[in-house]
Amino acid sequence: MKINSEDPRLTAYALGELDQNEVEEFEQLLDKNSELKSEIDSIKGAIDSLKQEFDNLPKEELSDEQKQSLLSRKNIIVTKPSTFSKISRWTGISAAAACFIGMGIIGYDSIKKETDQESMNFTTVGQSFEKDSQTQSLKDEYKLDMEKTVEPLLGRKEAKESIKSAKEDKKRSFTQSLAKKRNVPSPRTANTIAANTIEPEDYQLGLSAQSQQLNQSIESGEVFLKSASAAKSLDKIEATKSYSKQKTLEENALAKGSISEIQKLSEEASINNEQYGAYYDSPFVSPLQEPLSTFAIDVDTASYSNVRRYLGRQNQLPPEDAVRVEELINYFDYDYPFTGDKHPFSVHLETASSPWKPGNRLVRIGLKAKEIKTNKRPPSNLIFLIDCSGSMRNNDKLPLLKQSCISLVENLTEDDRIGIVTYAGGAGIELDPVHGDQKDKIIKVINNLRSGGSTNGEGGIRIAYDLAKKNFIQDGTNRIIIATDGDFNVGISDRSQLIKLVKDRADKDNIYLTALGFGEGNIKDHNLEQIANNGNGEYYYIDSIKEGKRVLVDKMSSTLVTVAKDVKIQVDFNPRKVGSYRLIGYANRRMKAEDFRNDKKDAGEIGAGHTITAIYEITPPGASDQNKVKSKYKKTDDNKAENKYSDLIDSEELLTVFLRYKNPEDKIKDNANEFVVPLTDSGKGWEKSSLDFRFASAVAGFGMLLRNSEYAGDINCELILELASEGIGKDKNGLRKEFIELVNKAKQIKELGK
Amino acid sequence: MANNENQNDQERLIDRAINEYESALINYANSIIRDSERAKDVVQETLIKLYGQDPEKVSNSLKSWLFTVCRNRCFDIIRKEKRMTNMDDKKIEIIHDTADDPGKAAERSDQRIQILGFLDKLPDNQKEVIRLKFEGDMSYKEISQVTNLSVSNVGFLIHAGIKKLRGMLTDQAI
Repeated sequence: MKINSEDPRLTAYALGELDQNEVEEFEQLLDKNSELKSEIDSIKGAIDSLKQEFDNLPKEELSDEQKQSLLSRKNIIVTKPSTFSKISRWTGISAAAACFIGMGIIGYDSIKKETDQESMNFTTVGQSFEKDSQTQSLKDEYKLDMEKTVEPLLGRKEAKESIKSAKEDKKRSFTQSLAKKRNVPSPRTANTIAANTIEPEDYQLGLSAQSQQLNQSIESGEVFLKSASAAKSLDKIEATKSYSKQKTLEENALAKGSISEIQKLSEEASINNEQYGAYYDSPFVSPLQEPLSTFAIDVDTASYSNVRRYLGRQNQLPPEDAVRVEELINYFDYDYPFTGDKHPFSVHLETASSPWKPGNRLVRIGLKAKEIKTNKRPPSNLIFLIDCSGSMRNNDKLPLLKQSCISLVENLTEDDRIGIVTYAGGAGIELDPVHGDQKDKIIKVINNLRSGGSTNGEGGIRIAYDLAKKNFIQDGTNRIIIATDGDFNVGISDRSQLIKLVKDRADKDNIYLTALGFGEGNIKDHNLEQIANNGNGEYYYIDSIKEGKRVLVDKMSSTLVTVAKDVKIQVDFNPRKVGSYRLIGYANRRMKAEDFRNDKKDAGEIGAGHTITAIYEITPPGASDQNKVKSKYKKTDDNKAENKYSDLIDSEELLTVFLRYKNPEDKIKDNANEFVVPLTDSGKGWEKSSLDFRFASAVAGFGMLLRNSEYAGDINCELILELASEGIGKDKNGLRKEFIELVNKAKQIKELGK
Repeated sequence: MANNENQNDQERLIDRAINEYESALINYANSIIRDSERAKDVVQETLIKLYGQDPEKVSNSLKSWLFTVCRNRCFDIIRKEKRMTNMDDKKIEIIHDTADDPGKAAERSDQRIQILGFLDKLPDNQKEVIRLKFEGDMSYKEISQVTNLSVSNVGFLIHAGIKKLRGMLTDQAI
């Protein structure tokens, strides 16, 4: 028997993979052939190098979060492999079978996309329902049904794999619809999976007889159904997915015609899977304890359009945490002039009495950024990162997004560049960046965007950033615009990693990120806000074509052109004039006083033409010294006027506003610019305040009302309406009028609720 | 059914899986799907699936089981993502260069370009079995279980792969 260098036994021998007799035989042959001996040595050398180098590779580990979620499962008792999550009775076993049939036909492709990454968003909800006795009977029913319909034939091997996956995903989608139905907020990380889904994979390592049998039934199922050529359209499948239950319920309720029924259901439907961060209103604080109030400015307006969606479309009050008062106020344009001095924005201060708490004062701080004429704006390099998951099909999502994008495209020029990257349901580069004048081509691609499949994309966001970087325009606007209904599976499932990426790209590459939220029932408000903040961009919620136009066309310059970044405000209150103060809104924008001059701290960005408003409410001094700190260890505890103010300068000012900002091209290490504006109280009543003041305070009051704020004083809808109508001004775009309508709506809903 | 016993066995199984195979699994997954974040997710999913398994059955072939499940998941992901029709190979290369991956960085840095550095240049099937052999420390038999190839096929691929690697090394030396 001859051996040459191609003989695999050489390596097998070197690796010790030959068994005893083979070894003996082989060594005999080797003895006669010294060439081969050296070949073996060489092979052994290579083997050693490989082994060594593999050993030297850094040890990979799961993230702490992932490990945590693994370990937390230890306490869940696992019964036999074939455990189901509770299947909603409502969807019905037949619907389930139909789903499955359809899935089998469509193949695992589209289904897998939908449920795959979505399944990663599960909580342990599925597991907790295991022990339900109802589950057992449902399990049995389901199994019986499956076996009944699929019994006739026996499996074919080629169908096996796709079935396995399809079935796996079926279980996941049930768990998912269950989770959605149950009002369980999705976890922040995308790293949990319902552990107790049935395991159809047969890795030749033995399964319980039960599941093997099930396997076979399933295999035969697909074959059976394919040959029966049941033509279930994709639509139907989609319809039987997660939202179907809600829709049918809603339809039933509409048939009954009662508003409260509808309200309750839409509440159930919409709060279903939406996620809001918790925001805490600032309390009143005494300047004797804390004279400085510091916060980062914010131009996001998503909260307002979201509130509008709740009140306008869903006829219900929004969840309190969906209301960020500053975003409501900042949604509107105000007439602050830009005085064109050395800073990229101007500051306007106004004081008046508080309409909802007699005796208190309100201080309005307004910023106005310099304008850029639309035709003078710097060239833009935009990459749209679009969520094309199945859930984006609704009219208020992808179709709306398409229209908004097209409006934007119509305003691009040949100096601009635009590209489109999708994620979820077949991720990839849909449009390689082209110049903005190739409108036909761009619009064609936009129109062809399709939703479908699961939320799972390969490197969606990384690709988007890479494209943006490749086409970077110096001194231009370089931006990723992410558009989604809440699914965030952009290729990085660990949220902190995602935020780090977004932040890095903003800081190091000067590529900012703007977030656009769409649709209802899935919006991850907090996530979108966070990612936009970290990406030095803004977060908008698009609830209508009008809003889409507003954000992407009318406000395009502001949206796209940043005139100042890391903008912070610090207000220094004079205890002689201020008993206590409270910042309305900006709940998650507050900063520590000492961070005001820490230029490494990220703050907010201002776009061209933006107006920003912040309102403080102030109680007069001496009245009731709230937050008076009493301590038995303090020497002078009788707080006589002279003692209180003994170390204060003599000043008639009410407060001083400090502003700090960086130019857009500044790096982290660069110093910020700072300027100062002092303010003396005018003493006037709100009836004499500017129209903008009255309108802004109406909005502030409305925000507090919706949040059921304890600081809202005597606020009520009538007062808000009065203020808003008085302050309506020119209202060129009709948005203030729309606000009044919303207040009326809210008033109605509240009255109904009584 | 002694649930408690089962539970302890399970825990031990998971612990063993993590202690012995965590790193190799992640690297293996990464070598297929080329995304270190996703690779970790895949491994986590794999470990979670382990919870659903009967320890008695899996315990003896834990390694094969883990790598098989992991592999299948990886290939599912790849199959799904074939839809990225606009991406040509060149682009994929660029993107991978910008991905942060310490293993890759190590591979790329000059000191490390020895035999391991050439591994990526091998055809996929050779590359995979070599990884399973050396990083996963698997026998031909285990590899054949994981990849569904015959044992002799495995042997052939490993032999050819190593031969090629040696060739590339010597070419480089010249």
